[in-house]
Amino acid sequence: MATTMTLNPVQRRVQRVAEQMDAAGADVLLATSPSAIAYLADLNIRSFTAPGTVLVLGPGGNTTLLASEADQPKIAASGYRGLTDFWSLGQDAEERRESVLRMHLSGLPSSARVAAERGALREGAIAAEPILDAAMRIKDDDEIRRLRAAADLADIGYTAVVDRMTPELRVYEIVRNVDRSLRRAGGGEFWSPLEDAAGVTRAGYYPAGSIATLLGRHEETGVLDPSQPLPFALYPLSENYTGAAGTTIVFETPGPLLRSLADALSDATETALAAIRPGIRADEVFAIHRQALQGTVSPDRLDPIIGYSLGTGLGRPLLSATSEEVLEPGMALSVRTAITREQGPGIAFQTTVLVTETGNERLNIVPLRLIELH
Amino acid sequence: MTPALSTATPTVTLTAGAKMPLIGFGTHPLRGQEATDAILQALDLGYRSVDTATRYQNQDAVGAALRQTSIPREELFITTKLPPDAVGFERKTLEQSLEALGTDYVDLWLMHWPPGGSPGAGSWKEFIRAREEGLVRAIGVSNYQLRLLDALKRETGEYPEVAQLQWSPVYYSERYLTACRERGIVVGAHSPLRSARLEDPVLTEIARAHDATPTQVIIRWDVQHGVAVVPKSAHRERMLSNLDVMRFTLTEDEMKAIDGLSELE
Repeated sequence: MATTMTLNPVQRRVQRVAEQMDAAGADVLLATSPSAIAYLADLNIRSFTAPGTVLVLGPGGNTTLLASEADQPKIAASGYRGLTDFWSLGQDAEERRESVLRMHLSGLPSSARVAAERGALREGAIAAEPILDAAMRIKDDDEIRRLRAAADLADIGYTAVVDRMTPELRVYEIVRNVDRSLRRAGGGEFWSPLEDAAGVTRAGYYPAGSIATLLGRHEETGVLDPSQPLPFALYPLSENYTGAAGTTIVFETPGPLLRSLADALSDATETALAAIRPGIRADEVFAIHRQALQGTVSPDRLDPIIGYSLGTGLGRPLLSATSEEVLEPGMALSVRTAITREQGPGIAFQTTVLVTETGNERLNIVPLRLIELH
Repeated sequence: MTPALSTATPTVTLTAGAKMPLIGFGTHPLRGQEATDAILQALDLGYRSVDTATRYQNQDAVGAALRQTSIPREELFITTKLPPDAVGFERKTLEQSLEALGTDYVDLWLMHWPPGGSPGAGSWKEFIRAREEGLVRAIGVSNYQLRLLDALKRETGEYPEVAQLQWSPVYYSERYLTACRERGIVVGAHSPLRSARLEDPVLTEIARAHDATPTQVIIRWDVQHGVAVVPKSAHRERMLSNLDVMRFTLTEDEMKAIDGLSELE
């Protein structure tokens, strides 16, 4: 007699990855990126002390987490229920990590095919990224619920930045305001979009000189320049799913050039957003955006990508000139448009949209226009 | 309905003539049906002042309550607020508020935060214009320092009628209160209970002496200072309790003792 088993949200996601592994001919998958591990294990490794965490997804959907013993307490506190193995601390930690990983793979049949993300690549391995991308492509109801909560947190972070913003604030004070608001709203974790496969947040600028970097908590002087635009973005996490929202502040009435650029970008962003619907190709949305900006700004000042798949992190680039992917209901996108300037920070707008049966739903309230605080 | 409580709620007359109840119902962070239900319940218990804001994303829920209540619009006092990111979009934002609230006017329109820490004189001129056109009956600000109030007067010739800020015994400022009185500005208290230390012995002892709760003591303390207060609760008993503060009076010594809980310099 056939039995039916109700899968929990993580098991459903693991099942989707397993299906894609079957299709790709992989028996084992080595996940190293924070977004992949969050997807497969509901575990946020972004705050881990040591780099190099690997999640092994084996036959039957079993997972084994390989991590530094430095992160053992965090894993124990996280509620992760799969198997674990740890490498010890020390100067040769990297070698011990490799040894632990080899040991886990050595038990596999010699015919087993391994798929691996970049952080655990080995000879003959299949690239795991396309497998994960395919599994993560369409969001289920639980994922959409988490994305909505994350978008709400991004909006709360946005108001924490904008409502309390003054030119005299230091970067750490803005971070504190955001942090406090997010924690009061039940959030508390956020991340930078610039992270390597091992989950280490690196310093970065979005665009150059943006205060988004303050939200990634990297080192800088922390002094704002009130004469310059201040683009910023926030990436709060809710149950390991991410919000992504941002806009650009000015502290004085913008000059005609800045205003015209910002208005053009704002209009082009709204035009692109309006075009997002099931059945349209990603490159068509990109072309609509570019068409709307034609004659207003040099193309080399525009981002070559204006949309990314969104889930447990910012996923693959989606809205670009070369993406022929057809949008479908259940896809979540972070739409991010920007104009760089020759001197000083540029202008950027970012919001999250969900492709619905009839069009799309914008999940953020963040206005996609220049925010004039004067 | 309990009109006895409603009629007992004191009011203050603002500069341009609007009468504002000193106790109102705060709606943040309620949204949707929960907000509508809570507001209807509050109105039923005798509240006549409802405090919302564009930022709260609940003006539609307030509007739903206004449509459902049998209380005439002119007996109600509706406050909403302009977010600081609406500089240059003041009229449009007000129109969106009016549409969501389902009303032709709001009784009090506040600038929610000083935009970028500036007085926001450009926006304030739009506020004055909206009052002149009858779209709002009174205008004010929220989270403004004294120097910003004076800057508004200097740049536009008009003081706000109300200055709302985070206000509780912990955040009490005699200087701010006195300065506002001198300028004809009514102080409004937001987050009056969240920032208070309800277990403070000064409050609990005074509460015991009046057979009241520390929360009621704080609200009564606000009222006796002439401060308009907007406590929020989604619970009927607490809503009623927050409104039922006119049955006792704090003595001068008790007022001073509560003032002394301030942790501001």
